[in-house]
Amino acid sequence: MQANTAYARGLARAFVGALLFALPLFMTMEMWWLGFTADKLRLAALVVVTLPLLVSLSYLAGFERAFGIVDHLLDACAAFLVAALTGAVALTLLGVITPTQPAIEIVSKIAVVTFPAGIGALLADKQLGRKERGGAGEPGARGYWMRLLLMLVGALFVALNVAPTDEMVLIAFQLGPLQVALLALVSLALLHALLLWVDFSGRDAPVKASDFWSVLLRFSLAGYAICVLSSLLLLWVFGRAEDVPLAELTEYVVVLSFAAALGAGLAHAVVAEQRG
Amino acid sequence: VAKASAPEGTPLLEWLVGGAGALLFCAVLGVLLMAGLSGADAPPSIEMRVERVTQVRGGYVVEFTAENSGDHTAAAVEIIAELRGADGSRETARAHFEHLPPHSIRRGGVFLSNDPRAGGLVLRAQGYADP
Repeated sequence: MQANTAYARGLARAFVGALLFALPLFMTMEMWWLGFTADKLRLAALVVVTLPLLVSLSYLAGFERAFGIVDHLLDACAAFLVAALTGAVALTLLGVITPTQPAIEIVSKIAVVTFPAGIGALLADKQLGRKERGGAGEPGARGYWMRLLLMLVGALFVALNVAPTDEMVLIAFQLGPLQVALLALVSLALLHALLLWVDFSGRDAPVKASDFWSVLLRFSLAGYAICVLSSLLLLWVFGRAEDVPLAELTEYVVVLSFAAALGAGLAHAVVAEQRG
Repeated sequence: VAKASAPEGTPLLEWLVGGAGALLFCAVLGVLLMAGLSGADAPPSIEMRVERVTQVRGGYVVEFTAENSGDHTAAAVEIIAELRGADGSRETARAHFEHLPPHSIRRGGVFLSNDPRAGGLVLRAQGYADP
């Protein structure tokens, strides 16, 4: 019984986290339009990607007492439920969803926000509930591939918040080729700096010169590649990659990867911080 | 994952909420896949219907609904209202919808200075853009 009560309290925290993490999207006009302009099969693809990412995030961060894959799967499903309900309630409150709209339009609007809201749901419970449960759950092992996976989650999360906006395309229009190249370099440098100083050092030993190259090759460059792929995925899901010349598509990707790099660089720090 | 010993096991509520989440996940996926695979491909077809005409200061407002019965969203929809008087006079007014999603109804209105209740009012969608 006590475990049930604790779980219910965790759920309440999860709702708050979902609301916080998805709020920028709830209040973005282009996101509302995606409900009826986006290709349904591509939205389905985004939803399909959401669940395994939530499962791996549950494994890496530890939502509730997660022991074994079934618990992580349950946590991910619970986070999905919280995300969808939060989306439905918030979008209805904001007048974005109305009863007169066709069901598919409503489902699509909610589907777009389940990923960021789901991440918020998972992280909030872990962050806010840690003390109460005395560090419940074994955080997952952090191998090389797990680190990359975490970067993928962070990259997708931040990029998703800006990907639907028209500003993203507008920024690409405003930039010349050299500025785009500079933005790509700055994104990589930002990612590298975050990984090097915020992530790998700080609490441990000072940064050595050899770390610089090792982290650059093994994490920063791989991480930037993840940012580029995440950006491409989102551009495809939201139908922005069609009939666009390669040079222009590259500009979109670089602009979006700037946001993605920030998410990828901070993902591990945010989740690791919670392990205390 | 190393199996840690769970003192109380998985709470029942966790099973319920997780199960409901799994069902909802399948439902959302199912709805999206069904809509995506239905192969419905009809172009936007916009039907206009006058709901109400009200006299306001300086003329009349005609409230209408626009229903898109096609399978594609029409963006930047231009609505034109044409009122032909018995004396051959002609008055036009326009309205604009940012989006008309498929199988949806949106509301709008046009302002006219002559009374359209006498007849001779034609409402139609002029064109749209593919979003």
